[in-house]
Amino acid sequence: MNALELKNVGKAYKGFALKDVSFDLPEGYIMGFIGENGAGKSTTIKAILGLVHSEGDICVLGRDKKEITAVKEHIGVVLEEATFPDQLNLLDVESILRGVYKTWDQARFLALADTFRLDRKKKIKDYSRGMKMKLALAAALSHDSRLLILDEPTAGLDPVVRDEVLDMLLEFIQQPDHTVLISSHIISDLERVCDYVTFIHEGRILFSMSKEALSEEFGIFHGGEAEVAALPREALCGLRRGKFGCEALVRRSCVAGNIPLEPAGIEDIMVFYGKGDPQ
Amino acid sequence: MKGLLHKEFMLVGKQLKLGAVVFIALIFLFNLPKDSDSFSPASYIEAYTLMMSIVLTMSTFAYDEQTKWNIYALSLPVSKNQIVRSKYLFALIILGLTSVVFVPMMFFLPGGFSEEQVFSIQIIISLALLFIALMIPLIYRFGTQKFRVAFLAIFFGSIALAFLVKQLNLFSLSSFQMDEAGLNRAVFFLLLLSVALLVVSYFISCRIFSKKEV
Repeated sequence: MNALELKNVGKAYKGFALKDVSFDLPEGYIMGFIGENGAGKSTTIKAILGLVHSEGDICVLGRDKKEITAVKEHIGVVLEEATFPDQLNLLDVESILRGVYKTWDQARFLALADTFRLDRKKKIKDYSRGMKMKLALAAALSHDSRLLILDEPTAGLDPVVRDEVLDMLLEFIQQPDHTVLISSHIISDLERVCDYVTFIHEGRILFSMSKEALSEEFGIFHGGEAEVAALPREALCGLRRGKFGCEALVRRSCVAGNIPLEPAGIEDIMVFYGKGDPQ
Repeated sequence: MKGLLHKEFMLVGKQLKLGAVVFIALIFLFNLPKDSDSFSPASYIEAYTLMMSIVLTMSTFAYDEQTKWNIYALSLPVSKNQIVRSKYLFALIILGLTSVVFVPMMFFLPGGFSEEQVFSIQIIISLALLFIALMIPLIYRFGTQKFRVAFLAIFFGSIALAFLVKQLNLFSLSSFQMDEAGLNRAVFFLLLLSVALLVVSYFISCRIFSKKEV
């Protein structure tokens, strides 16, 4: 079963449009949602959560987008741009969420807050950005969440806490019906935890596949201009010119088996695609 | 829903406490020998409760905008209609609470519990309901910043209009004659009208908010 299904999702703004966004996220896996700034990650997440009106079909935990309120009890959300009212403290937030979620686990929330070293009495406005993220994450993990939707959750966190957060996601995913969609610019985080990667570029999905399929699909070719020009055009996905030659991101399936290719990481793929048309 | 209401009270907790202190101070301040028949301390204090319910409700909207709370709220298991409902309920609870606290206080005010005071309180509560009915959909539609400007324009515009009407002798209240039963009916009708408009206002706000993207 898929925890998340998007089919031809679209949303038009002045100067930007999300077009035909389609991908599936099977239950029990972590999907990394990547793309450069302004590519449409947050808009897609907002469409999934019903925060913006969108075209196309969205199905979350088996429910159509019109019925999403019914499953929000089981969705944990961390959004980059939204926080709790900043004149409240952690205990105030806890008492509010206790009145919102039927499955709220107060003990777990307070334990997570201690793990994240969050001051219970300090006002949220005095929290750093990283602390606000940790608070939102603690809230997302303190009710019966089956699907976590995290928009840049590790942004602003130091490497030690980032590591703790990633460990928490890996622990969360141990339950077979738990699923995570995580958008991040910190690709090393995604490479560590993700099973699937979906890449959005200028409002369109360029690919959505498992991490293994991704490394089977793409490779990096090193050579001179003439050697790159000799590659089949359909193989070429991105090109980087340097002083000592060129680097090209190529589809392995479109080039001959004897051409030497280095493995391409998620970051390589994102950078190459982000640089535009290789032709 | 319970959590949303709880949030509103937490947000304005300090203002509410300050408001209560001012409220008590006003009770003492107005608890002076009555020197004029036209002076009704009860209506002044009740008008203050009206102002409190409006200002506090407006504050909750301003706080929400400041922290983009609605984005987070809509990711919680609450519907858009429940979010709207919590705002109306909050405004009504504040108005109700202050009125409930205030009515017994009237016995201690100059003039005691007079029929005139009951009239003025009914009118002020009706006006508060009307104002809430007008304010919430406008804030949902235009946001608190624009609403504040419009609010000040309406407020000072009304004062200017009243001043003009008085100066030019365009209209005289003394030309209207109404017996006590008629006055009773008019006040009751005003209360009914404000409740009906509040219900209509709730549905309009729900509609505006359902179309709104956060």
